[in-house]
Amino acid sequence: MIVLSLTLALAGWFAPVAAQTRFIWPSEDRVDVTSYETAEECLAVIRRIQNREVYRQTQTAWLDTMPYDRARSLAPLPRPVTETARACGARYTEPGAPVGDFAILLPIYLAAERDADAEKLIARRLAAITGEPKSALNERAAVLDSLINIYTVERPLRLARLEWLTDEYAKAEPDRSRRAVRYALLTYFAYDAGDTARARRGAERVLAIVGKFTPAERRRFDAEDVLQVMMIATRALASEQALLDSLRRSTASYVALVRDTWARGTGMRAEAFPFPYNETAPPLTADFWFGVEKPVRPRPTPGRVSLVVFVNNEDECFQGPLTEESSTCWNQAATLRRLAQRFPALEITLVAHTRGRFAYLAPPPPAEEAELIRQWLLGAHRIPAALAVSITPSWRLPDPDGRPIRRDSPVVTAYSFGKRFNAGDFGGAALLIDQDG
Amino acid sequence: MRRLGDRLVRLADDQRILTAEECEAIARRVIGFAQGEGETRVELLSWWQGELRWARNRVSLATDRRTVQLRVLRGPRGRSADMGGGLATTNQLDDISLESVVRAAERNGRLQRERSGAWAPGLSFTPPYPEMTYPPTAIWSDATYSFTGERRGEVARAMVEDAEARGMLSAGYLEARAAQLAEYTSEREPIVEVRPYVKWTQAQCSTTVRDSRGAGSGWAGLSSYDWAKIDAHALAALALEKCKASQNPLALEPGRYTVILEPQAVADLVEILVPSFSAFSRKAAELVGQGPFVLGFDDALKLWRSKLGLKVADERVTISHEPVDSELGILPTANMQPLKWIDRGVLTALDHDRDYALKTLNENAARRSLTGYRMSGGESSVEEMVRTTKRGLLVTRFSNIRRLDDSSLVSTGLTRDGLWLIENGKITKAVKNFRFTESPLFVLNSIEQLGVPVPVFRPTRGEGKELTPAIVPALKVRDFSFTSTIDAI
Repeated sequence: MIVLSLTLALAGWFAPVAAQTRFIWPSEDRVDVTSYETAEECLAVIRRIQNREVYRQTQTAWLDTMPYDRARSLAPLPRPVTETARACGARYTEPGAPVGDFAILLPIYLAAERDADAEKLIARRLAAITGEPKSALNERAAVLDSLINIYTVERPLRLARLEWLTDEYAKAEPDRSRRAVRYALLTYFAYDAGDTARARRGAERVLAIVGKFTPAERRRFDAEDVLQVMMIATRALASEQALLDSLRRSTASYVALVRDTWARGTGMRAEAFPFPYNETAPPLTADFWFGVEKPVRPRPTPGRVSLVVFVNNEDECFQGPLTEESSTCWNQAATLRRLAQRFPALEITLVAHTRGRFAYLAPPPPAEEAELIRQWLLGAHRIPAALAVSITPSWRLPDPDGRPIRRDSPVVTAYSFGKRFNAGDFGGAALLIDQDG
Repeated sequence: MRRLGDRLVRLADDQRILTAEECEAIARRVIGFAQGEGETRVELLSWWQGELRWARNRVSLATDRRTVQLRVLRGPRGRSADMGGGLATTNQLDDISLESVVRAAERNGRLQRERSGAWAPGLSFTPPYPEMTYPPTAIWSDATYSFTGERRGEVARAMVEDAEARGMLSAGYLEARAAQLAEYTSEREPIVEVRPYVKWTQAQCSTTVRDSRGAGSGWAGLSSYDWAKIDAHALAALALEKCKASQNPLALEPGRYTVILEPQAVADLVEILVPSFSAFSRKAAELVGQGPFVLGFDDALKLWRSKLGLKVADERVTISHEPVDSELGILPTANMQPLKWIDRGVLTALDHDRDYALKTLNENAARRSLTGYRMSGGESSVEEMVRTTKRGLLVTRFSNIRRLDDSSLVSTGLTRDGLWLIENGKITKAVKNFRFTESPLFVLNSIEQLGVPVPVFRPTRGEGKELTPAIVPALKVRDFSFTSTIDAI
C-alpha cells in the first residue's frame, strides 16, 4: 500500500524506481533440513515430502483407480522420504532423545528405517511409567493406544510389532469393547496385507472377547461398530478360500457360513444378520435408462450373474481422485472397468438418482440431469454398464422455507427389503446377484 | 498510470482508480503470462480513500491513500484456492511483477494440490456452469470523487468555526472513497469478463460537539455514496444544538420507558439483527438448531424448522434490499435479487451460501446480505412522536453494543450524545446516559409509531470494502429496558 501524506504530495516526491528483481523459488529436489529446528518441524517436512511423492505418483497414475495392491502397505517408503527422515532425524539418538516427545520421534525413526531405535524409545517410554498400580496401568494403556495409532499409520506396516502392541494393550485395558476394536484393527490390516495367519489370530481374539460380552457391554458397543468388527473378523476367520468354496457350492451355503460366523461372534440370531444375503433381487425400475437396447428388458437378467451398483454421485466425485483412503466414485469406476474386462459375462447395472442439482448447476430438469449423469459415468468414466436413473420423489415445504423433502424411490424401497437394509443411503453399495436371482 | 513497462507503475494523482480499459489490458497481460493447462482468473481492485479527522477543534489526521490489488487464481477450471487452485496477490502492475504473480499462483496451486490431493487431468467431461449476471449499479458520484484534501480541509474548518466561537470542542471525521472491481477469466477466448467492471464511491461525515466542561455532548452524522447529499454545515449545527441541549443532565431511575429512537439509534439496534439474516444463520437454524430464528425439531420430518413464514416483528415492519435502489446504493453480488427478510412482520427470507443453495434448496444462487438494507416506516415525525408522549425518553444513538444471547439477541449497550426526558408532549430535561439491555426483536414488536425512513451514518467496513448503507425510520417504542445509569457523557 502506498501511503502519501499531503505533505509529501506537496513536496512533489516522484522518484523513478528500477525494475523489480525476479523472485527465485527454492529448489524442491533437495530439502535443507538444517533450517528445521524442532522435532515437530522435522516431522512436518517428512510429511510434506511424503505428500509430494504421492502427488508425483498421481501425475502419471491415479492411485485410487489402480487394482488393489496388497503389498503396497508393506512396501518401503520412497527414497526421498527416507533420506529426509534420516537427515533430519540424525540429531536424535537413542537413548538420549527426550522420551516425552515419543509421539513425534517415533514416526521420524520409522520413516528413517531406524526400527531398532524405535524399539529402544518404546521400551524407555513404557519404563518411564510410574505411580500407583491402577493409574500406571491406565497410563500404560493410553501409551500403547498411541503407539498402536502410530504403527497403523506409518508405512511400511510392521505387523509383528503391531500384534505385540495390541497384545500388550489388551493386558492393560480393562474395557473389553476397546480391546475388541483394537484386535479388529489388527485383523483388518493383517488381512489387507495378505498375512492370513496373523489375521486369523486377530479374528479369533476378537471373537473370544466379543463372545464374553455381557448384555450391558453389547448395548454399549455401538451396533454399527459391532457389525464392522464382526465382518472384519468373519472375513479373516472364514478365509477367502473357504468363502469361495462355499460360494461355488451354492449361494445358500455361502450365506450360511457368513451368517453363522457373524452369529457366533455377536451372540445374536443368524436371522438377524443385517445384510439381505440370499434374498431375491427385485426387478430394477427407473425413469431413464441408458446403455441398453429399447425396449428395456428386465434387469437383473434372469440366468446371468449381475452386479447392481447403487451409485453415490455426490460432489466429491467431481473433485478428482484423492488419497489411497478415498472411497469415492473414482475408485468404484475403475474397479467396475476392471471387473467388466475380467468377467465379460458379468452384467453390470448402475442405479443413480436425480438430486435436483449437478455439480454447480441447479436445478436441471430431471431428463437433463439424467443425461449429465450418463455423460459423467458412462462417458467420462467409461463404465461399461447400463445406467438406470430414477427421479427422487420429493415435495417441498411451503414457501418461504421451500426445502425439498426427499422420499425413497421405488427401486430404493424395493431394495430395502422391508427396511431391514438401509437402501436409501447406499453410499456406493454393490449387490452381487447369482444366476437364480 | 500511463503505460505498462519494466518500471514501477503507480496511479497518477488525477487518476486514483483504474479505468475499465486499463483493467482489461492488465488482465490480458496476466493471462498472457500463464503457462500450462487450466484457467486464469484475474481480479482487479483499486481504491482511493481520503480522510480528515479533527479533535478539540484542530485537525489531527489528514491522509490520502490509494492502492491496487491484483489477485490471480491459476488452476483447474472452476477450482477455488482451497480446492486445487493457486492464489497469489500483488499490488504492482509492471510486467515483471505481473509475471511473478502468475508464477507464484501456479506454484501455490501445485503446492495446494500436493496437500489436498490431485485433480483429474485429461477428464473428458466438465460439469456445466450456471450463468452469473450482475444487476446494473449507479453508485458513483463525481461530487464524492472530487472531494479532495483541500476541499475536506475547507469543510472541516467551516464545521469547527461555530462550535469554537461558542467555546465548545468539536471533533469529527470526513471521508471520501472510491473503488472499482473487475474480474476476468481465460476460460473462453479471448477473455471473458466474469464480473463486469463496476466502480462506486462513498462519503461520510460525522461530528461530535462537547462543551469544555464535559457536561454535554451532541452528535450528528450521515453516510452516502454521494457527497452532494450530505449537508455538512447542517450536521455541524445539529451536533452543536444537541450539545447545548444536553448540558447538565439529571439522573433518572433506570427502568422500562417509552422511548423515541432517532433513526441513528434505530440503525444501531437493527445492526444487531441484520447479521442474523446471514448465510450462517439459515444453516445454523436448519442444520443444527441454533440462532434466533430456529423454531424447533420436527420429529416427523426429522429436520430442524426455522421461523420462516412466521411473524417475528410488528406488521408495519419490512426490512429489505433492492439491488437497483438508487437511494440505498448497494453494490450487488452475482445473481442478486430483490429480497425482503422481514415482510410486514413475517420472516420471509434468510440468506444462504452457494453450497446450501445447491445441496439443500436445489437453487442456483446464493443469497447474501450485509450489503445494506431499507426498513419500512410511517408518516410520523419525531416532533409528533414527542407531542404524543406523556412520559418517555428521546435517544440520539447507542454505542458499545454487545450481544449477550444468540437466541434472543438480547444485547447491552449505552445511550450516547444526547438523551432527553419527555413529559406531557415536551422535551423537558437532559438526562444522564443509561445502559440498556434489550433485544432488537423485542423492540420491533413493541412499536407504537414509525417515522419516515431516512439514510443514516454507517461506518465503513474496511479499505476497499463494499458499502453497507441503511435507510431506517425513527421509532417510538414502549417498555424499552434501561438497566443502569452511567456517568459517561
